[in-house]
Amino acid sequence: MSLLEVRNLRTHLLTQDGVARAVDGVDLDIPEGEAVGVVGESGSGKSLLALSLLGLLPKRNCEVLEGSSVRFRGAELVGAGEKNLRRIRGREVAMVFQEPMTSLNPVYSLGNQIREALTLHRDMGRKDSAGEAVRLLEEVGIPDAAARAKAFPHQLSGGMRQRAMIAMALAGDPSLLVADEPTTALDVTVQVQILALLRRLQEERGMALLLISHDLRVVAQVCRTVFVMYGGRMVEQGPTSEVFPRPKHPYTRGLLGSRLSVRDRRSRLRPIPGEVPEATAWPKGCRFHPRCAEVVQICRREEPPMVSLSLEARGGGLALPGGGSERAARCWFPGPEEKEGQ
Amino acid sequence: MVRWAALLLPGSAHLLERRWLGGGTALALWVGLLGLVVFRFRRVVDAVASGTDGRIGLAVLLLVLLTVWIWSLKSGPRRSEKGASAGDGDWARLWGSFRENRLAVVGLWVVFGFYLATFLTPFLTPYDPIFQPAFQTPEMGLLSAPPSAAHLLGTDGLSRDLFTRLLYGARISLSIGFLAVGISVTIGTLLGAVAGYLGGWFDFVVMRLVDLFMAFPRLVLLIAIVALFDSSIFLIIVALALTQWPFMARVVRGEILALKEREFAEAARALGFSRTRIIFKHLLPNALGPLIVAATLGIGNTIILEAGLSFLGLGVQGPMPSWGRMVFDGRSYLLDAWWITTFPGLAIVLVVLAFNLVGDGLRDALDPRQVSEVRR
Repeated sequence: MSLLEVRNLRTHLLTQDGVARAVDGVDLDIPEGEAVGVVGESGSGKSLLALSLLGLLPKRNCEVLEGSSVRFRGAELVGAGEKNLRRIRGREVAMVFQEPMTSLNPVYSLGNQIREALTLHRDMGRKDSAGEAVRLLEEVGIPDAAARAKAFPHQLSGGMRQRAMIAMALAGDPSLLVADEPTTALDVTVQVQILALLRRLQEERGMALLLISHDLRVVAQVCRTVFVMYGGRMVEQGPTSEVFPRPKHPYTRGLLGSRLSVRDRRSRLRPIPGEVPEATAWPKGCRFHPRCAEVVQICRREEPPMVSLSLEARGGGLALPGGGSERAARCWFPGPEEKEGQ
Repeated sequence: MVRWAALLLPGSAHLLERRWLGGGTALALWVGLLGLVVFRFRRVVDAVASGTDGRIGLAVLLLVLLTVWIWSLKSGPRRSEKGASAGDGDWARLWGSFRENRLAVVGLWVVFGFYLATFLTPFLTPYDPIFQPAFQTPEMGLLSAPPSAAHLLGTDGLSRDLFTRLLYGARISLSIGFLAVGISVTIGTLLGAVAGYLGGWFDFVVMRLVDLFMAFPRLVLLIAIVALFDSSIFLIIVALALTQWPFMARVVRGEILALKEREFAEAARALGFSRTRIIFKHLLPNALGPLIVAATLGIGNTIILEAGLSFLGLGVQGPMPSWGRMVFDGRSYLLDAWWITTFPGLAIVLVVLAFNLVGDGLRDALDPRQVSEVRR
């Protein structure tokens, strides 16, 4: 059994243009102690997916639909009630957000913010929590942690703040860390450091990690398994080592193609044409078909199921019952139409 | 030598080290209060003997002296070993950035001075605030006498000493201002913060209630409340608080509405903090700045409103003095005896100004971003 099992998660948003099916039938598995990545363009529903997991959606315009299921260690979280969810948040599943500039409370010092989580989740006293806060700051690689614990958020750089956020998230000793675009707002050099930190923490603590990003490289550096999200659904999944060299879904290929390569200056940048359609009106058939170069008749008519591509899987080539992290793609004609790279 | 000076004359050691503000204040307090006891010894003894008023005054006086003495010893000549950034606690840091603002410190001392004076009143003046000597023994009392050595601020139209009445009036005006605002801030903060965070029907009900209160002119509402019941100081305080909390609630609600959308509020939820904790520990401290400004402005406003009520005969009932009442009592003498209205008016202006300065200083000091900028 996986640590976190998401089945048919559907989160709809009420907007002025109607109901946006932002997350629309997501299956996702996070095994204990593993790093899993979710990749997709903005508008694909990644962030909403992350918020849905812990019931953090604003109630006034978001709704997780009937039939959705999020199980943590077998316990259902959808509709579990605020009280039960609070027991999971921070202690079992912690989150790191995109914007380190505003994710820390400006009126408390770093130490005090971390200590609050410590006293709440680990019943620590004043003395213990002070020491543990400094230790956590050290663990996330903040130099001179004892002095920095007294610093206020505005006195720190973005990278330092993100490290402090991570330290705060670790305070409850969670078994799953959800990081929603943790490096997007940072300098490239700092990005690499934060990613290395996340990977180190994940390995050292044996903690599961759900890394959400629009950047394939970010996910490739940290995660063993990757899910590619488009139009509110997963369109491709599998081990990172297989998905990136041999993408099966045209969208994944498109993502890989719209990357700049440092080594090969002459390689053409091939952006995916068009934009992510509005979540209020997904196209009929395959949701990617209006932007797909390889579109044929059936793509416009019918939506393909998630098809297993794993050679070992007994039902290879058949529709996946949902979940798992084996190699699969949601395409009528999965496979490399053109060789990637060479 | 320096140690002995510090022991006998608190603040003197600070002055030798060129710490003018702290040393000067301590020395002035020490000399002033001791001098009061020595030179007005009989009056102090009489006051203490005659009632609780004097005993409380003596207790406060001794407490202040003791505080000054201990402070001077603790922060005295050994200053160097502690360093400039003394203290790591939240309060030490708050004070550290508060005193960067000189005007705010002055305001704080003015407020402190007024409150101290309300306690020491029986030692400061030999007169009675209510007794009208001119109508008992005509040769003793002077009607509308200008300021002189015997009557520092002159006497009013009924021959009562104005300085004395000003001191007794401070008791009433200051407690009304402070208590009414204290109550209204408490109610307004609670309702405003919870309404802003929860939204929904609770927010709707609270805000319509606020609208209801704000739809009436405040003075009319006050008159209605006071006219319904027997006027007493307690009732006036409650009435003032009741008509003021909607303003506080609106300020707090607005702040909370903006703050709850900030990412740190979401981060706090993701950490599993409860709603109460998020509202009162994470959001409210961020809203303190505007709240404190509103509250200090409110104190001034309240003192003025109380004056207005007294003018209409609905506020503090004579012969007990409140500053507002004194101003309006003196209105008919305005052309002949300017001091009767001027000094209570000045007192109101001074206190309101001081409270506003303190409020400004507090707001800046409470914002941690301000600290590093000022301190470099």
